[in-house]
Amino acid sequence: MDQVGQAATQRALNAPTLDDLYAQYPSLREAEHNITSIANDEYNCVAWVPKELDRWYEPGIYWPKGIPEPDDERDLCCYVALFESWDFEPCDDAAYEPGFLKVALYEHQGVFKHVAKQLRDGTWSSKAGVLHDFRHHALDDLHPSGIMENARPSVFMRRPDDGSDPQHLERTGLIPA
Amino acid sequence: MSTALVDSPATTLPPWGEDDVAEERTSALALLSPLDEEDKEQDAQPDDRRIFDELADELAYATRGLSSTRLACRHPAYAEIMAMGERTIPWLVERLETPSDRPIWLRLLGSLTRFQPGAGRDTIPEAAAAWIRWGKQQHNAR
Repeated sequence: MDQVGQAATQRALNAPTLDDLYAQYPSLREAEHNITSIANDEYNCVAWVPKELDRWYEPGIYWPKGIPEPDDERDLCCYVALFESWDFEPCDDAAYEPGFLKVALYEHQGVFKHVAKQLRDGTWSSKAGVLHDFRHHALDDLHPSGIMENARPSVFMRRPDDGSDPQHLERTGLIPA
Repeated sequence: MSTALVDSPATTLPPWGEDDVAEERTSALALLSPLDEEDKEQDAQPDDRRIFDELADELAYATRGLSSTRLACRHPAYAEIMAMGERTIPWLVERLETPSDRPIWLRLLGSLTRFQPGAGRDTIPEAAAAWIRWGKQQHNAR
């Protein structure tokens, strides 16, 4: 096998696994949760909110026209503007409110880190980078260790729940409950 | 190394058009700094590939959980790959052929070439395909 072939084989062996997820979100392993997808590098946590499974929402990679792009590292305001374009509005906290869908944006010093979306049973659903998506019971299940060090869920937004999304994928994914 | 490119990922450059990839790429290379030109003149050594693969694997492992590749720009391995310069471009393009960590390779290519990482495309597979096409054009032009 030539060098290129060896490199390709090695990369296949290095494909993302659940071990990667737990290594980067160590507090998740101890928390009650269920994995709802395989690893996938075609969508990120932002796209997971509207379940656009072929989008990686990030300035420079895919970013809708008309939504501001950041001038520096502090890009949280741009993500807030994106969610506003999806009819979300700022709200006070992460407490479950019947009739509303909520998202929690994790950030550190104005730098966007992650977004989790609340399900109708009050639990949360997240997609981790190019890794898996999963349901978790608390926002604290994702921090403050590993890759989420210093990140805090500090911006909360909500929009009316029109009931159009059955949230099946978020609860059980493709694996029977 | 091109520190400024690490700090300022190319987010404001125009997207590629469907038919003008090669032309825009050529003009992009004209924008490269003198340091990049020095990189271009250096021949890649066998050890360079090994070092690149180690750095790229380290970067992929460390940043797979990140929701934004912009955050990965702070990782030391990202900076080291940037410091290796243009010689890494064919290897980054090669990595786009394997679905698993494509967003971070797109971000690096954007930083090294000053073109949009997403190549103005809507999806990761489309962006990867555009970069791979460009990589083949560059190879054939040599």
